[in-house]
Amino acid sequence: MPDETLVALILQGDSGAFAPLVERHKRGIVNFLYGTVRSTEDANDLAQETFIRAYSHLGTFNPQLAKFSTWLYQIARNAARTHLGKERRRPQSEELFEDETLEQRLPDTRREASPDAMILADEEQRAVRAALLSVPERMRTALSLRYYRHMEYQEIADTMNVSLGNVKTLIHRGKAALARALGRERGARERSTTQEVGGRELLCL
Amino acid sequence: MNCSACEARLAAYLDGELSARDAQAIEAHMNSCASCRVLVNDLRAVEIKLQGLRGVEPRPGFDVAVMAAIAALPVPKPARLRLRWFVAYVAAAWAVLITLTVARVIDWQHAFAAVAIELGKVAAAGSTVLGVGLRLHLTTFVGAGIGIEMLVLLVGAFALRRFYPQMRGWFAGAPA
Repeated sequence: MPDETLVALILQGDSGAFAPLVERHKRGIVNFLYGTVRSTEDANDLAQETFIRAYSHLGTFNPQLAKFSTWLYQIARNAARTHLGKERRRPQSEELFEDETLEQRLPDTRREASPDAMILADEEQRAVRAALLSVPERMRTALSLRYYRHMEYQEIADTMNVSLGNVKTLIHRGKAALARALGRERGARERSTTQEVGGRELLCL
Repeated sequence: MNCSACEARLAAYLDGELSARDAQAIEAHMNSCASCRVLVNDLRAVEIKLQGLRGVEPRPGFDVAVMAAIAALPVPKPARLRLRWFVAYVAAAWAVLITLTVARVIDWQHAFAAVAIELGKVAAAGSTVLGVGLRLHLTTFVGAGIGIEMLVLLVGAFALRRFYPQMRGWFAGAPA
C-alpha cells in the first residue's frame, strides 16, 4: 500500500496505519540522521521524534505538493538542525562517539582474524564521521542523504528544496571540505605521534 | 586550461559527465599541475571513504516506542483551513472597513487614527498570510496570498480615491 494511502487512512481515524510507515522508513531516517549527528543514540532519539512529530502534524501534509518520504526527511532535517543548535550552546564534551568507543571495547571475534585491518577500518570510519561533523549543515545533509541514505541527486534536491545543480555543488564542495578536514586531522595525528616519540626520547635521556 | 577552470569542472569530471574532449583537457591540465592532481586524488579518496561508511540499524523496540508515544496523541485531522477561507477573510475584512467608511462610522479624516488602522490591518493580514502558509506548509501559496492582499489593497486605494485631495489635511492632523 503506498505511503499516501496509509496517510489517508490515518486521517480517517485509523492510527494503526502509521505502523507500516514507521517500519518502512525507520532504517532510512535513522541512517540519514546518523550521518548528521554525533552518535547512534542521538540518531535513534531524533528519528523517533521525527515520526512522532510527523504523526501529530499529519493533517498539514499535502500529498499534492510532496511525497510523504520527502516530507518526512524534511522533518528529520529540521529535528537534526534544532538538536545541533542546542548542542552548540552546550559545552562540548571531549568524548566523541562514546557509543562507538564502547562498541570497540567489546570483544569482537572478527577482529582476531585480522586485527590491524579491522581497527584501521573502524578508525577510518570515526575519522570520516568526525570530519563530517565539521562540515557546514547544508553540505553535511546532502552528503548524508547521498552516502548514508543512498538517495539519487534528484531526490536530494526535492528533500532539500534546492535545484539539482545546487545538490551537485553541495556534494562536491562537501567532499572537498571533508578532504581538507581529513588532511588536517592526519596532520595533527602525525604531529602528536612525533611529539610522543620526542617525549620518550627525553625520558630515555 | 588554468587551475580555476579545472576546479570548476572537476565535479562533472569525477561524476563522468564531461564529454571526452573536455575530460581530456582536464587530464592534460592535471599532468602538468601537481596541485590539481593532488586535489583530484583527495576527492577520489574521500569518495571511496564515503562509500565505505557503515550504516546503523534502528535500536530494538524502535517501532514499539513510536507507536506507544503516538497512542497518547490525538488522532490527526486534515487541516481544514484552506486558501478560499483566507480569501474570504480578506474580502470580508475589506467589506467591513469600506462599509464603515461609507457609513462614516470610522472617522478616517483623523490622520493618526487612519495611519494606525492601516498599519494594524497590514500587520494582521501579514501575520495571517504567514500563519496560514506556515501551518499548511504552502510556501507557494504564501506568495499567492501576499499577491491577493496587494491586489485588494490597490482596488481599495482606487475605491477611496475621492479622499485623496483631503489627504494632506489628514496627515497634518487637521479635520478636512
